[in-house]
Amino acid sequence: MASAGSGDEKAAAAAMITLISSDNEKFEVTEATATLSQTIRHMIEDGCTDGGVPLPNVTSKILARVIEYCKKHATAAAGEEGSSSSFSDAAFLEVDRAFLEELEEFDDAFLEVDRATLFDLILAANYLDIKGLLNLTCQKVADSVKGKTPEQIREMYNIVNDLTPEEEAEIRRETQWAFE
Amino acid sequence: MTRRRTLPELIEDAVGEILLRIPPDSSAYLARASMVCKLWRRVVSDPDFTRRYREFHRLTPLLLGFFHNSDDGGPLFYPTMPACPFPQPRLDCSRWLTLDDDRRLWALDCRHGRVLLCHRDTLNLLVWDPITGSRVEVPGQDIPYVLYAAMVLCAVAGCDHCDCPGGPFLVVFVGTFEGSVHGYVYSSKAGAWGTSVDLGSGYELDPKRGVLIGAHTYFTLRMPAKILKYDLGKDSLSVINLPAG
Repeated sequence: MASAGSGDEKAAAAAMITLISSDNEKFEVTEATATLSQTIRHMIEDGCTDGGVPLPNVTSKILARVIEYCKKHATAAAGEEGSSSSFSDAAFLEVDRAFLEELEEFDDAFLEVDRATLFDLILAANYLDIKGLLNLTCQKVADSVKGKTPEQIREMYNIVNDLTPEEEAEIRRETQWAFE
Repeated sequence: MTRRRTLPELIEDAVGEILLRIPPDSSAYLARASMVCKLWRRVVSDPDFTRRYREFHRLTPLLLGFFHNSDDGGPLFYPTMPACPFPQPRLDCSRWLTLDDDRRLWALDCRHGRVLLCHRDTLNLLVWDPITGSRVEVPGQDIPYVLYAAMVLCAVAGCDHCDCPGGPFLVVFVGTFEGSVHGYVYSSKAGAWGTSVDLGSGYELDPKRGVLIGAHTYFTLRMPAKILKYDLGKDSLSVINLPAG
């Protein structure tokens, strides 16, 4: 495996980007970490990241968690690329599996948050367009909704029932079969 | 640069992303989610969401069950999923037609979100939307056809028929009487059958389900074995020969 691109990669990895949260806190991250967000990747490509990237929809508390996720997953991605040239296939598979397991454990631990934080993470992942994080967090909510009644779902996620009694009766009529 | 998006928009997107990932093991999950609040209902009822949901889970349309016509007193509909939007455990079809006996109905066709049922003695037809439960009776033909087939079609302009919303429909009926084949189209908008078209004598219909391709419907003739084409645009019947051999 040639490593013609590794010089550029190192330069890219060394390039730092400043992210600014809605409460004006600044976070220095590597470009490799930041570009897990497609939104930020496009900003970098457009050359609009000088002076930092303001993220008015993301608080510092949530941005710190998002960066934690991106750092881990960016390292994992870089680790996979690096290992392929220095290990035999069998050893590579072994390392790969260990990586995936570690990543899975990280993801599981990452999801150990209260529901409000989980929802904020979803909004941030959606806004920043981070596929892996969006998938992870949305799947967690979707799994928790499965098998629940509308009342239980509302209670879990603090959702106000704004349906009029007529609308509710209409839906109940249409979907009566789902409640039997 | 992309337009900066407002928070409610983002929330709607995010709810869509969550609901998209609700496991498809039971069709009841999404139905229940639709009753949580206005936003969730709007997201789930969006036809674009339904399309994305199918793509996300790589679903072919779910088989909820099947209709089976039999004289042995068995059920007309056999559900194949635990939660099914159709009445359980069997369709008591006898109650639907204002008939003074409990003779059973026959399923003739199922298409575009509707089921076409027929009372075999009167030839009265019933168009049923199994999801909403709406039922529309269609008067039968005066001629006592013995061999017949019929098809129900969505008549909503511009509908892609992936999720037909109810509304106007057509019923295409073909039948054999005294050696000739007649065809009729019923329009729910007009509330009446159109004038009959005639294939001429010497044909006998095979009373099987037809197929719809574009604006044409196709049925089978058993004497002689040929294909019967009903051109709905031109309102005409014609015959297609089977390939030789």
